[in-house]
Amino acid sequence: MIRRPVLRPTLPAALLAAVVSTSGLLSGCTGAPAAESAPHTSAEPPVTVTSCGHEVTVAEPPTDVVTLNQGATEVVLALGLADQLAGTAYLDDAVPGKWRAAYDAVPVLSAEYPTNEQLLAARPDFVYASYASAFEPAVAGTQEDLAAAGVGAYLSPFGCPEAEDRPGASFEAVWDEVADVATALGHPEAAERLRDQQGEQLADLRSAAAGEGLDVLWWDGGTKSPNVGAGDGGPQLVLDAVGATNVFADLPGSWAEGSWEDVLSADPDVIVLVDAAWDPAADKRAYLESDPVLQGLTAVREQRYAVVPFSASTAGVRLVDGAAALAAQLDELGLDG
Amino acid sequence: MSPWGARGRTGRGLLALGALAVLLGSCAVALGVGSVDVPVARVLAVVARRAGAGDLDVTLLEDQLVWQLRLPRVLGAVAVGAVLAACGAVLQSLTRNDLADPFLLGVSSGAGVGAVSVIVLGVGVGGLAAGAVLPAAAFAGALAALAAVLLVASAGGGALRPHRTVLAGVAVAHLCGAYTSVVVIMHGQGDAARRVLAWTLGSLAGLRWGSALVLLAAAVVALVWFLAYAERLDAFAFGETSARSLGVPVTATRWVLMVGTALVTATTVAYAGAIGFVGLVVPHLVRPLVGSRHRVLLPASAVAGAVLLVWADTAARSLVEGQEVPIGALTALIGVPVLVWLMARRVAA
Amino acid sequence: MSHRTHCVHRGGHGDLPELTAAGVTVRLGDRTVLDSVDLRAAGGRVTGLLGPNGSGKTTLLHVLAGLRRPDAGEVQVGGADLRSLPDRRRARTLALVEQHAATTVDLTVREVVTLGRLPHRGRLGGAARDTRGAEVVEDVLAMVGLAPLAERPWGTLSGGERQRAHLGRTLAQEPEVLLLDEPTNHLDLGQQLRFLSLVRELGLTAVAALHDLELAAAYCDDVVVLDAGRVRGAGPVDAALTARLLAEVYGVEASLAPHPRLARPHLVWDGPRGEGTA
Repeated sequence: MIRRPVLRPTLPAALLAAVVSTSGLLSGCTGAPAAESAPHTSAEPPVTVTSCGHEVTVAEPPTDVVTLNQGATEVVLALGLADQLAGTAYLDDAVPGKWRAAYDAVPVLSAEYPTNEQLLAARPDFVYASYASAFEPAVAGTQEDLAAAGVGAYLSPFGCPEAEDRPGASFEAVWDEVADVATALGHPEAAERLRDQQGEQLADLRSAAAGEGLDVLWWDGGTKSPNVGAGDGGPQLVLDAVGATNVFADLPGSWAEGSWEDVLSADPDVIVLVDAAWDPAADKRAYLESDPVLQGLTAVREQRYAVVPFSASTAGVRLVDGAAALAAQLDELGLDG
Repeated sequence: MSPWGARGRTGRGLLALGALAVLLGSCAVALGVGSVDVPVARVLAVVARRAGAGDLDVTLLEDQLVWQLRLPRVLGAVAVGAVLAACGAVLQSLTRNDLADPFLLGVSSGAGVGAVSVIVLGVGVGGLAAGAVLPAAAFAGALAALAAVLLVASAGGGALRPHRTVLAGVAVAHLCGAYTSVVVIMHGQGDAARRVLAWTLGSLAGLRWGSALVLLAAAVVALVWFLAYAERLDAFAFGETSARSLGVPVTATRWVLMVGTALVTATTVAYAGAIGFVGLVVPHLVRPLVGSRHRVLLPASAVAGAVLLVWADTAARSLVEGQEVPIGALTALIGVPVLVWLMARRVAA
Repeated sequence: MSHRTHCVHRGGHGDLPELTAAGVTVRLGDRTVLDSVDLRAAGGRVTGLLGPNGSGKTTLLHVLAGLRRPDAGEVQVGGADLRSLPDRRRARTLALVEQHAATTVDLTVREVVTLGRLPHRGRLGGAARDTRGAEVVEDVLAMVGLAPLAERPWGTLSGGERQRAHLGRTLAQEPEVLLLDEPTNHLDLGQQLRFLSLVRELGLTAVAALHDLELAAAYCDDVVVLDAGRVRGAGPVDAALTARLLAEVYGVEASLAPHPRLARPHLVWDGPRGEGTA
């Protein structure tokens, strides 16, 4: 989960650059990988978890948590700890139906990032965000500032500004983050539960192997050249979970710039169209079918598409749902690899 | 002996032949470069088959790669390079300003307004956005900016004086830039900022036959048009008064050529974004070789611009594996040292 | 060569048009640059346009050349209203050597002279219609003494060579009337004398703005003296340049006297006008 925070377009590039450069100051203590602080069972306060090299110590289980970015909000919802939330902000698209009621019960501070004052007005005792941009001075303030004010500040490891703090995308890494958050919120057992449940779901998907023998293009967006799911991120995890082959598995990173030449040459069996509010899957499909060259692809001619929501393709608690949705659509296409 | 003696004419003929050979060779090399390996022999086979030389065992994939993806892109590079370089030569002489480039009249920033409106605000129809709406919006934005610049520059007289026109262009460009930044920052979602940035830097990726043919047509029209004015452009060498005393209708010529260059530049911007430095630098590179007479300078600049852009585009898609380097960055990489060298030479002289 | 008579009119005063201005007034904002100026430049004669800096000489030349429309008054060449002439026809009739015509474009001498053929070419620049062009350019290059430098780039020329190249460009226009704006500025004395001798030899109707009275006395047939946009004197050199006019317009104690060796007047000056002498 490297791409999104850097590209977060709602902030001036200069500010982003400033964050990236000042983050050097924060890197003094690289600390243990987040994973090591995870498997706590005793929730005796105070507890300490590590977030991007910062020790986050929580004296009492926080009761007024503010989550920034959809991923963070969904982790808390998935843990069933919505009653500890004081507010949420910044959805990329929609919260899935199963968490809708819980989500609606919590005040939404703002559509995108709240201002510093809006955040303070919610009187948070813990701030949890997916992207480093949330801890800019204009938004929540730095993790140190918040800590100094007695507010816990946890940044998803996938959003750490320093590359060395960011884990590779894996279901384990997702569950480690979930465990950290659950521990900080005083309910480590909720993380255990989620982990067991998702692990089981994943095992079922793997044994069903709906994508066995299928070459799949994971098309995230971009028409001049395709932005594709590459070998080391959420898309690859989803494709692995259903047993499909990613035609761009050789490219490094979570997402990468592919080329239509390679797409033509690979002629994938199925194309995954990522559905995002800013770039709907329907637009992508229309483009493929109107392009004089791409309409010759087998998958386009035979209309073999699968749609996965963008928010279920990033390393987070919905990744398993993304895999399940893909598996269901592949079954429906009825292909034999 | 006539001023253009037999030797000069032969020399220029050879130069023209050489330049065309370099251009064709560059195109041939560019056709062989891509992320999928197609041997030169197969590239030739694809082209030969399309030219009606029989089946030659060309596979569908080879035809798709070479004929449908690479050739339109290469031809697009030829057309865009030729247009930008020729426009640069025209405007440098028309404004007597060595730093004049085809984006002088605000067309790139205006096109940016159109493009951002589509990319970020989703003005237009979903799905078609990337295909037809984006170039159309960019072109419309360019025209609007051009109209604004001409209105400001010609207010109270209509003589379109160069320094006033340049100022108007700068002013409108800043206004457009402000709009673009505000829209991206206030409304940008997902990877909109990256898409806008990529568009701004220009790219020939994704050109298909339809767009390539439009660009080629624009290039041909532009060259024929500008060449008809070659002699009158020469007359601008010593300034406006001198041109008028030679019988050149200065104001009319300025209008025709400024609007003409802006229109064809806007066409290239609509399909390929604003690719900088080609129009600025190529005429300066070509003049020492062929002189300053526009009858020779314009076609020479066009060919040199085409060759430069074909190579820059080939580098753009092959320098970094699996990544497109923005072509505007590459032309700047070549253009900036040349510009610095020009400035140094000017200071020394 | 047979075409030379087409190219440059040597001597033959009779068939050359006269250039006249009547009541020419030019205002710049609320400043009157030219105030009801009348001027007559006789066919085939060299008329000096004199006056101190800022007296309106350049503006008047631009009006005479048809490059600037006066607020009032009219200019006639050979009896025809200048405004009725189409641009290209006008450029084949009158040519202007500008005062500061610099360029950063590195044209060769031949290319600069060839610019003068522009009004003789087709509207779309077809060289084919200007069949004599190449020969005229060669003749002009020889006439202004630049044939050996024909291929030299502009940037390598001296001031005198540049001025001769400019003259060559205007001569390539094959004009009947030659307008020169301070053509000897920035030239050394030898270059000045050679340049003006050349202009005289051409035998065209010529109007030359000059600020050097000695050169005017030596090379002009007639003079028109401007001061602050008004005509203060006009006529043949020795009649017009009276001691009184020189004192009033230039503020000098000076008068014309016969040249000790040549049959023409030259300027003798005593110094700036003494206080109280006016």
